[in-house]
Amino acid sequence: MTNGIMKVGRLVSSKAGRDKDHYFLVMDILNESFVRVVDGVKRKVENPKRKNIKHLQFHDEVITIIAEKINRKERVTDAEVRQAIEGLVGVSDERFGSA
Amino acid sequence: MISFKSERELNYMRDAGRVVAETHREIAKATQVGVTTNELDQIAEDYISKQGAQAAFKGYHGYPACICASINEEVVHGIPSLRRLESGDIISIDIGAVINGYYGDGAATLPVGDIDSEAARLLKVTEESLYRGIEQGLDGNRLSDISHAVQSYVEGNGFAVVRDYVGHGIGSSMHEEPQVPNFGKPGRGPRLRPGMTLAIEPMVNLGSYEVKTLADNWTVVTVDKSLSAHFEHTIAITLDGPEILTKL
Repeated sequence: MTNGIMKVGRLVSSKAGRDKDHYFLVMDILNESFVRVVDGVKRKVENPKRKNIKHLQFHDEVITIIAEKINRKERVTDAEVRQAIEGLVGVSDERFGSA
Repeated sequence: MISFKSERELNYMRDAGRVVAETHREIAKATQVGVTTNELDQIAEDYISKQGAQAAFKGYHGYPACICASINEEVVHGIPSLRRLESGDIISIDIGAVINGYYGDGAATLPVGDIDSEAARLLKVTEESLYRGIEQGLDGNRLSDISHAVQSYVEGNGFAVVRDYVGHGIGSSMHEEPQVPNFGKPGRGPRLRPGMTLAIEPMVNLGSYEVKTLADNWTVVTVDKSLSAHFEHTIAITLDGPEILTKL
């Protein structure tokens, strides 16, 4: 089964640090080493987190609806991001949410 | 971090690879006009469990089946269904098995009935590109030597390699570091060393390299609806050259 690489709308998780194992979606690709990610809870669409791709695990799932919205430069809401992540991996991590 | 496997770990991976290869053999026998991809999935599930292994894909991030069955313009991650194969189809079958906690992963694209000459050439070139990549799996080479060998062979034959999905390290997880792209300049990335285990998997499109994911969040298709083929082996880098673990 192939491994998905960086692409807007892709599900990723953090490999280390205090947000270890926390899930995000890729919002934009800054260059070949950095992307910006959101989770709709702690990292909102207005304030994405810049991440080195070395520190992210890339998963296969891409949220097509969100990816297409981003590509069309339409507004994506935090609720959409939250629902998308919860739909794929279950309820978001409470520990991180309150950290 | 790239993990290096001991001889004992490699033996587990040889077992998992053998189950993957044998399951491919069983699926190839059953792949014919009129069969559904659900039926192929069932054959794989039965065979894998009979060998005392588990299907690696089932439940992986919620993936609902044992195999990926991707037909025609579907590139990878096609979910088995009630769709019946028709003459002229090409179908990529991707199978993963796990034994003693170690994984094997392999894919092949099969013709159904009579396929046209361009589709046949696509299958031949994609399979050959996999072997061109594997040939570069030598102690001391760089990772992107594999990537470059695949890309240059595919593009030299007028086809396109998919960018958005890549091969991967494999071992006690299905997806380990490093990522193994099917494109790139040679001489880059980590140096290949004995004990590294990689799943090399060119995905090759007849038209443009662009792909998109369908609303089921799994099935990846070509944007221009051109045919796509996919071959994959799990290999181990050894002092004696690359060892293919998913081949009988």
